[in-house]
Amino acid sequence: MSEQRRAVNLSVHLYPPLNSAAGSDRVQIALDAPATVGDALEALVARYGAEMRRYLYGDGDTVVPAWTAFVNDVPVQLNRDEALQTPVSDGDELALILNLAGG
Amino acid sequence: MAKNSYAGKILRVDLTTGAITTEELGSEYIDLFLGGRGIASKILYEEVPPEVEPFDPANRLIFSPGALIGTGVPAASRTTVAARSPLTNMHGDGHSGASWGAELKRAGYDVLIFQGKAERPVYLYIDNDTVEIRDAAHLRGQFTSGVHSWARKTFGPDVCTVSIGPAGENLVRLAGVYHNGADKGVSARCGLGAVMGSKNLKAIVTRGTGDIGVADIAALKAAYKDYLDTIAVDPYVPPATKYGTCRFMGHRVKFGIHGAENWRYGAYPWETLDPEIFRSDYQVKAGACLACPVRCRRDYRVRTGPYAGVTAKLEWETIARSMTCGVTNPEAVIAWSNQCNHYGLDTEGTGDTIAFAMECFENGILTEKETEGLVLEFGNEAAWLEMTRRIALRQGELANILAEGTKRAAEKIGRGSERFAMHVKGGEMTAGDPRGMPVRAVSYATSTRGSDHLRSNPYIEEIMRPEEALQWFGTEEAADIKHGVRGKGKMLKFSEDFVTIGDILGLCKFAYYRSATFPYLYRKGVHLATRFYNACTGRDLSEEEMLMAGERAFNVEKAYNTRCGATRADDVIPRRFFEEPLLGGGPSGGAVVDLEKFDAILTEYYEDRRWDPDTGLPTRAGLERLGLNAIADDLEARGKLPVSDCGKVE
Ligand code: SF4
Repeated sequence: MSEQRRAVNLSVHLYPPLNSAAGSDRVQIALDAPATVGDALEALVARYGAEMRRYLYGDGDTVVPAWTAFVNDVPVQLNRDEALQTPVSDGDELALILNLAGG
Repeated sequence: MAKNSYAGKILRVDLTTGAITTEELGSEYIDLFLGGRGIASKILYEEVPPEVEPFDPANRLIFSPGALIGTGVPAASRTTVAARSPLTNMHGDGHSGASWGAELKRAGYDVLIFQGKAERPVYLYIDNDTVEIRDAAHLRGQFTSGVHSWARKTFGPDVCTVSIGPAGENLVRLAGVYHNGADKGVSARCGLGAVMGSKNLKAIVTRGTGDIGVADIAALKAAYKDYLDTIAVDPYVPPATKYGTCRFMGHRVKFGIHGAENWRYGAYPWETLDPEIFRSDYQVKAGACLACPVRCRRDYRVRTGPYAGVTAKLEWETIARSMTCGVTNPEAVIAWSNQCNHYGLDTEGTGDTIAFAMECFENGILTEKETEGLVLEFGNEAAWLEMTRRIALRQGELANILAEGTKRAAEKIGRGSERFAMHVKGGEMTAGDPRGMPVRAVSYATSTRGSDHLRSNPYIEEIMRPEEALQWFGTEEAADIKHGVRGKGKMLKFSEDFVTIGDILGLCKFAYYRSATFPYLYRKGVHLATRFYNACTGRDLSEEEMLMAGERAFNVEKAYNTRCGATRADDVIPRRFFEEPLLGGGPSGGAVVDLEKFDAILTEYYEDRRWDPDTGLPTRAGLERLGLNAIADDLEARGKLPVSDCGKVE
């Protein structure tokens, strides 16, 4: 297998409302290397469809900026396009949490 | 009733003389102040000068439903209660989403003002035009739930109530004003229940059967559809509908900003308080405030164990303040919420005050002698519940001191306890720990009613793209949560004006003033809010004028506090946040609030507000721009404008 096509297996922790779209809080996804946070979002949409898309993108084409990706607990604010280029590696844990502050 | 959402009348009750009068709600109230918090703030400024102390009979207790309550506008549910606060000694208000405010309007009154003090406990009975002060001796000592049950049994199931519990009667400065019993809504902050108690006013029983007319039904329906379309695509909403306010836990966990054990720990064992546990093991009812499609209200019941059978409405802040006391047993949290709601206490203020006492106990400043046998350790839920009960009843010397709130308790206890007193302007801390999030830190400081996350939307930075920050606040940096400084003062000013609109119109913050993107947020909070207001009233306000109405109300409150002696030195958060790194590890572990950044944001904020950055005082130019010329004159006469504004500088 070439370097490019090696799999990047991610354990993804989906916070509300993504867990409703996926039917689970935790899912596994496999991406082709080299892979990014943006690739992971696209894979989730491909697997879970319109509801997942609506939660991640709203009614627009860019990621809803309130999503924060934690790559192995390091936060990446997804409010800028460059953030989607953040690399992920095989075995990483990716958590996607909406900035639901406000209590 | 006119077809413009206003009843057109103020109802005034003098509890000293027994006089009950009505006044016209004239254009001097409606034009610039609109309703709710706007009108309440104006009345408080005009009728309660700084010489009038909070428990003075001359203090006013003002009930002011939002301008859109009862019109069918979604989530138009909030009523403002205002008075000079016995907790902060400054402007005080609280807001509740129960249906009592709509009932008052249907009875024919936009605003209800109490002044004076009854000789013995009374309640006010309102049945449309019939308004009577009646004896309430038989209600003395009753829980908020008991008062509501009595009223419905006595007057019929259609009446709404406002009441205080024993805490309010005992002038506990942490007491709230409860709407429709223990489990529907509370104007919790600022000790307003104690003001009601100081007037010997136990309850208001209200029936209103009139219509609240709106000017343009078609326009209202069109805006309603756009509102539903907006929340349908906003990912902020589904978790609210699924979990209620418990949903906020995930954010606190991932950012590590719990503020547990008296605002020391950012990361803390939280797993037992997982929103899914509340939903699956304890939830018995999912409901909504008046006309709200978001439906985030939740009732919970404990089924087994020592708290079996206890039910309570539970809000996220109650869970958060349980963690402030080190309590993570969900059943104890439900029991505590039940207890506070029945005795009529604010869970936020009470939780923080007990957490303060717990840290004093941990450090030997308080011992079992003072606690009268209670081992007041963090996490000791039995001691926590018992101290709450004692505070409500002012039972015992220590509870009597804690009933004064954190600030006064620290002043009385002394012996270094002041460093554990977590408050701003006397109002206990709320929401998440501000270390590592600079704009949140400043927002707690600038709130006009003491520390408060609902006075602004300090979370805009968490949902904004850099290009939006550039457009709105002049720099992309404002959209950087952790590191940005420039633009954040402007962002804070905008967000304060913005959420004040909600309190003026009676729109819930969770339904309008929180969102996952800035465009959705603006669409709901300004654009649709303005359309709803114009549709209901027949007026033609622009979005800029609506934002200015929010700014105006905020400035009136700022002027009130200025008149009470507040300056820039009062716009500050407890030293702990600057000096003590956040404990417990996690993403914010080790963080402190950077004083230099805090000051820079605060200065930019004052400048954008047109307040004097050196003193924090409002300026004549800033006030007159908002049509607050009389307030500028009053402040000048009292020597409370900046020196440069009084012509005293060469
Ligand atoms: S969003 Fe929740 S708190 Fe707000 S009005 Fe709706 S049900 Fe009530």
